[in-house]
Order: sequence, then structure tokens, then C-alpha cells
Amino acid sequence: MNRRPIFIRILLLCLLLVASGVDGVRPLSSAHAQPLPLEYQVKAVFLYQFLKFVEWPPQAFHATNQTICIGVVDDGSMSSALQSVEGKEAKGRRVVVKRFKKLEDLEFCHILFISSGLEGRMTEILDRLRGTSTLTVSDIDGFARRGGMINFITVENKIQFEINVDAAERAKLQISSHLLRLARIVPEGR
Amino acid sequence: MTRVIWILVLTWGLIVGLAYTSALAQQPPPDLTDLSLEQLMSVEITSVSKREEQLWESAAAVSVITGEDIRRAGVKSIPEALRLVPGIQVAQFGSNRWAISARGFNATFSNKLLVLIDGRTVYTPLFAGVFWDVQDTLLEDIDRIEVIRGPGGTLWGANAVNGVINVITKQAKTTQGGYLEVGGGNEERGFVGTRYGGRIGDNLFYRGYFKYANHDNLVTATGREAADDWRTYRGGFRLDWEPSTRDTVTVQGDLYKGDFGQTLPIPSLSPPFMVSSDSRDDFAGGNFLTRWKHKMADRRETTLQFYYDRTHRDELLFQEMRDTVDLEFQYRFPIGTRHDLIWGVDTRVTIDSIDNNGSLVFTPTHRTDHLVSGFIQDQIALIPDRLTLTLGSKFEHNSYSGFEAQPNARLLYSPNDWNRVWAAISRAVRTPARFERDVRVNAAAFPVPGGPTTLIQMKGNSDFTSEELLAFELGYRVQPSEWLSVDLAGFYTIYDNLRTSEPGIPIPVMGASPPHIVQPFLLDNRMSGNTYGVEIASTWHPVSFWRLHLNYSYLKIDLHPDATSVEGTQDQRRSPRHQVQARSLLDLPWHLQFDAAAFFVDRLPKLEPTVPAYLRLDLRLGWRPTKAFDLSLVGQNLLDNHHPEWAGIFGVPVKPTEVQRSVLVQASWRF
Repeated sequence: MNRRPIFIRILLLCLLLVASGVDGVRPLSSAHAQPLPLEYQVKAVFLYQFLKFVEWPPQAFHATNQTICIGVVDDGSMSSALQSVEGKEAKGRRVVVKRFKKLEDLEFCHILFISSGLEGRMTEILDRLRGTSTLTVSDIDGFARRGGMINFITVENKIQFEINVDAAERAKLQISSHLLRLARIVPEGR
Repeated sequence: MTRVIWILVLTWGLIVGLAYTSALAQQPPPDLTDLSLEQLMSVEITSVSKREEQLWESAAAVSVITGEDIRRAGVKSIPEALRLVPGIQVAQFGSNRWAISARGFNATFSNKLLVLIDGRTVYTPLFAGVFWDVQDTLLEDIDRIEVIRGPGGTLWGANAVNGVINVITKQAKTTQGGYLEVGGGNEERGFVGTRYGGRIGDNLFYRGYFKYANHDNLVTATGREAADDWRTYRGGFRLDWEPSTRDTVTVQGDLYKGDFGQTLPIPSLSPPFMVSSDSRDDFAGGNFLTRWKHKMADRRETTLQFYYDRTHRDELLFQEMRDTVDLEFQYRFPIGTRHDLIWGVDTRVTIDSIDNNGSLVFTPTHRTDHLVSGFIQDQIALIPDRLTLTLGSKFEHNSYSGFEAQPNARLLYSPNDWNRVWAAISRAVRTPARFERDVRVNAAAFPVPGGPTTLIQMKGNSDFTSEELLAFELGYRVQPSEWLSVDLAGFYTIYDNLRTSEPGIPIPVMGASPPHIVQPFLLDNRMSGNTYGVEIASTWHPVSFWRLHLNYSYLKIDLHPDATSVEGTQDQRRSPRHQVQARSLLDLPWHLQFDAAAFFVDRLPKLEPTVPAYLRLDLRLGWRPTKAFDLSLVGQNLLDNHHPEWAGIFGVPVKPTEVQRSVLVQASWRF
């Protein structure tokens, strides 16, 4: 039995598969939404749910503007995932998603999601938000202990969250007991 | 056989192709926005979680076996768990012995595979390889086993030539409360394992474990019991302390002991020239490791790690006592937004003391070996989020071959969210083991008509040097949807200075009784060669309650002993050319799980005796009525009474033992 041909045949088959697959992906995927990691899809819906279980002080809302805002800084995955909640309703207001390219562009949002890629600038962002009533949410390790409010953590492939109640209270936010019951309450670290 | 393979591969192609298109067709994800908080919290994000993202983004052939995979495979040891990894060959040839390798050159001591448990290397510098029987922990505590096929020398150092296996245990934080498992069967005669984890204050988590296992004999080809049953006892602890949000300190350790039987062929100068000796042997040891990780702002991170490992083996042919101390420091820092640098230094001292039996002698009997190394690696975002180049090298100095450099270059291209293409060129070395320098072992004796008996003696060689390789790799990963992923890797590797044994000048020993002639064979480096192959791993998750894995690997080895060498090319067919693994994990109603795994391993014609191809089938039925209780029934090797997977020790033919059909029942509680 000649050996080389079988190897080449297998390789060819693989290449064929891959090539056909790749070519197949392009036209189809442009018709559908880009596949997103489920993790972000779930986290995006969490952000939407948080809108319902947190009370902002009245001055956080424009009387005239019937919107409630989720902000996200420079994160492709979360920013796309938030499309699923954009335009929905929460607290009788329409959800808008603001995508900030740079930190300098940051405006007030009821919730701000800080992606783990921004870990290095976390302190800077939190400093910037001090004195506003922004609910800060992130999946940076130890975010809630380090002064953030809600921290997504992954436990056995499921998304759970930690809440730093003190930080939320400082921003005059009231978190419903329902949300607190589901969360791990963490103290502030250094 | 080739036809069977071809059909298997075609079927695989068809399944994946169909899955691919059907996955694309069902592209729009379900609307999650109607889920409540509680429902959201119970959604499994099995696809791209944080650590799997690392795998997805790595420019190397990487696979991960999770703790859940191990549990659902029903295996009871780390070597058996490695059967689940695509492209890894696992061959059991004694109840406590395995030959395990990646990308060829499998042997009793597969010297081209580096194995680490929680950052502690368990590769023995005595033989260059792994004593698998002492590499264990409570399997329930294993978080994952990361396997890198191909060279990992730049980060992990010498001997990470054809692969690196990292066994990583869970953090104490995630193993809180009590756990107890008991079980037994015809091959795993009885085992019990227990663990308790707790916390002190807010930031200190701990756990301790103990396990005992009693393993049955394998059988000989004729079905007779081999005398190789074994028992192990082990216990250990782990502490994880987070003194601040930036620091984590881990302290862990294990103690173990055990005893085992083996039958060894010992050459003798008078008829029958080879006697089988049954021996009852034992091992014991312990290790202690501590690691401090400090995270700074801007993704800077330092790690300082120290470990101490003591191992003792008392076998018929040799006794080894070895102490190893290792200190390692790593610093990772970004420069601007484009560069992510990591450098580290490592120093290791290993001190051994070996008592010899006459037929296996190490000279000198004590040795202290040093290893000093440093590495630097830069990950450069050539085009942010699109094209990443990783450049780095390890530089080390060891007591045997002196200075070694192991550079690599890796490129990762990310055209979009669901495709990754990578390529790599690396140089790696396998440094000499103590065995290759200092051993003298009687391999065989045979009568010469009309003359004195000839004794074949394998001898170490003080000129034995490192084996080298240059590897070219190419890989492609695709995840067209949440439910399907395919991972392809191809490689071409050039080896040089491979180990051979070459005849020396015969020495007549006339004064001895009986008079004989010693024919020495000196270990040398007179072979080059190349290997190429592909490894394909695919996962299909068509519905939330069913997951399928299908893996295939192809390997071709061509060896070329140089003109002055008498070495044969046995290694060419000591590793299977084709391997196929298929696994199905199914969640059923009434808290039942039904899991099946089939493994096809190609024949090994260059072993003595030849090992035929085999197909292995494992089934598991699990029942988990509550989160706290788990009952499972496992059958392994169900297709035949017994079959061989390997033969031969150090090239010496032995009476091979065969793996038997096994059934076991296990119950576990959490409290």
C-alpha cells in the first residue's frame, strides 16, 4: 500500500472542507448577525435586567427625554451583544446604547460596562465617574472589591455576580433586595 | 485497515460538513431578553469563556480536558484521562505503567513530552520521562488539563519538545465543603477519596484531601494474571490566600506512598539466558509548592514560585532517592498598546542517590545537577485585533549539555470573530538524561555456538548530547456558531541528533564464571529524521443536552540513521499512524447521563511482539438525583476480554501485559 497518497488525500479533504466552509460562511453570515460568544449575549441581557432592579436618583433622568442609557467603552463583543436590548423598554423608558470609542468621549449613562481589556485604566475610569450616579459593571477580576459596583464572575461556566453595596450607595443608587439576594456581597478592598 | 480509516474520515467529513451548514442555518440565537435573572444565572456559557478564549487565541495546537470531561469519561487516573486528548497516544502496558507521547517517539519513557502539575515539573531527569504511577491527585480537584502538542520550549524549557501537559487543580475557593467518593470494580478493586474545604476570614480558603486506591493486575496474552497489582495512598492540601485585591498566595503540598508488583526480564549467563523475576516494589514521596502572584496597574504582573519535591523508588533493579528544588520568577508588562512582554528566570537543583542492582548500574551513584534558565517573549499586535506576532526564546544552561537556546516565532491571524489561522516555527531540544550519560545495563545474553556466551550491555556515553528539532506548524480554528467548533493543526518537524545505540569493542571477561564476552552498545546521537501529520478536533453541540467530540490524528515518521550507525528505525512504527476518538455526552431526563467514548488506535508493527490495531469502547451511565449525590456505572474496554497496547521495555522484549475489560461503580456525596 502506498502511504503518501492517503496522507495527501486526507489533507486535501481537510482543505476542501475548510475552504468550502469558509466560503460558505461569508454570504450566509452577512445575512445573519455575526456569531457572538454566548457569554456576551448573556451579559448584555444582565445589563438590561439591572436597569429594572436598580433605582437611580430622580436627577439621573431628564424629564423630557424618555430614555434610559447603557454605555460601553470600546468593546466589540459587548457592543454588538447590546443590540439585542437596544430599543427595548425598562422603567417605562426606551433603552439606548451609547458606544464610546475613547475614554475622553465618556458621557453620563445609567449603566457603564467596562470591558476587561480596560483593566489598566480602571482606576482612571472610576475616578472620572465619581460623584455621578452611574452603575459601574465589569468582568475585570476583583472589580467590585477594587471600587466598582457589579462584577461578573464565571463559576462553573455560569455567570454570577458580585456587588459592592458601599460603592453603589456612594453613587446614591438603590439596589433591589431581589438582586442582592442573587449576588455575592463583597466588601471593598484597598 | 486503510479503507476503514478512509471511511471513518469521510464520515467525519460528512458529519462536520452537515453540522457546519446546519449550524449556519440556525444562526440567529434564541432571544435571551425574556429570561429572568435566575434563568440568566443558570445559562451555561460553554463556548468561549475566559480561559477557553486563551485557547482560541493561542498560536499553537492546544487542547483542554476539563474536570467535567474527566468525570464523564469515568476514568480514574491522569494517564487514562489523557486518552481524551486529540493526538496524544496513551498505551498502558502494566497495571501502573503507561507509555504516553504526542507526535511520535512513544516509549516506556517518552522523553519528548514535558509534564507539569500546578507548575511543578514531574519529568524525571533519571530516565527522561514520567513515572506516571506517582502523578496523581483527587481527580475531582482537577480543574483542567491543558495539552500543547508541538514544541513549548520557549516558555517551558528543555524537554518540552513534542508536547507539554499541564495538570491544573482547582482553587480552594471553588472546592468548599465536604466531598466523599467510594467505588470499586473488577479492575479498580476499591477506591475511596475524600476532601474538605473551608475558609478562614474573608480571604483565606483551604482544602485537604486523602485518597486510597487498590488496582487489579493486568493479564498476559494467554489470559493469566500478571503480578502487577498496586496500591496507593495519598493526601494533600491547598491554601489560597488573597491578602489584597492585587495579591494571591498559593501554598500546596502532597504526600504519597504505594507498592506495586512487576515482572522483569533479567539476562543470565547460563541457560535459559533470560529469567523472569517477580518483584514487589514501592515508591513514596512528597512535594511542597508556594506561589505569589502580584498584579499591578496596566496589566503588569509578577509571579514568584518555589517548589520542593522528593521522590523515592525502590525497585528490583534500582533504588532512587531524589530531591529537587526550584525557584522561578516571571514578570509580565505591556509596552504601549502594541507589545505584551513576559520574561522570567528559573533555577533548579536536583540531587539524587541511586543504589544499584548488578544488572543496572549508574556511575556515579550520587549526582547534583543544576539548571539555570531565562526566557523572554514579546507578543506584538502587528495589526490590533487582527494580526499578532509572538517572538521569544529560552536560554538555559544545564549540567549535561551546557548552553541551549530555544527560540520560536508564532503568528496569529484573526480575520473575524469565528476564524483563527496560526503558524509557528520553533526550535527545541531534549537534553540528556542521567541514564544516557551514566548507565550500564545488561540487556540480553545469548549463547554463541562453540564460543563463550555474549552479554549485551547498554552503556551511557559522556559525549551523549541533546536531541534537537525544528518544527513548522500551521493551524486553523473555526467556530461558525455556538454549537460547532473545528480545530486543525498540521506539522512538519525535522529532528537531529536522535538517540541511537552503537556497538563498542567487545570485552572478553575470561576470569569470571562462566567466562563470557561483553558486547557494549553505547548510546549515541547518530540519527536524524522528520515527522509530519495532522490533528483534527471537532466539537458539535447540536442541542443543549447533547455534545459530540470527534478527533482524528495522522502521523508519519521517517528516520535516517547516519551511515556509521547500526540503529534500526523501529521508532517509525512505535507510534500509531492513525488515531480516531469519538465521544458522545448526553443528558437524559430523570437526571440521567449517558456517555460513550470510542477510541481507534492503529497497529504498532515495530514493537516486539507486534501490537495490532484496537478499538476501545467505554460507556458510562450516571445518575444525579440531587446536586449532592452522584452515582455512576462505568464500563471500559467493552469490546474484548483483553488486548495489548504496548510491548517492550528499553527495547528489551518482555512478556507484555494486556488491558482487560473493566466495570466499576462509583458513588459520591457533597456535603
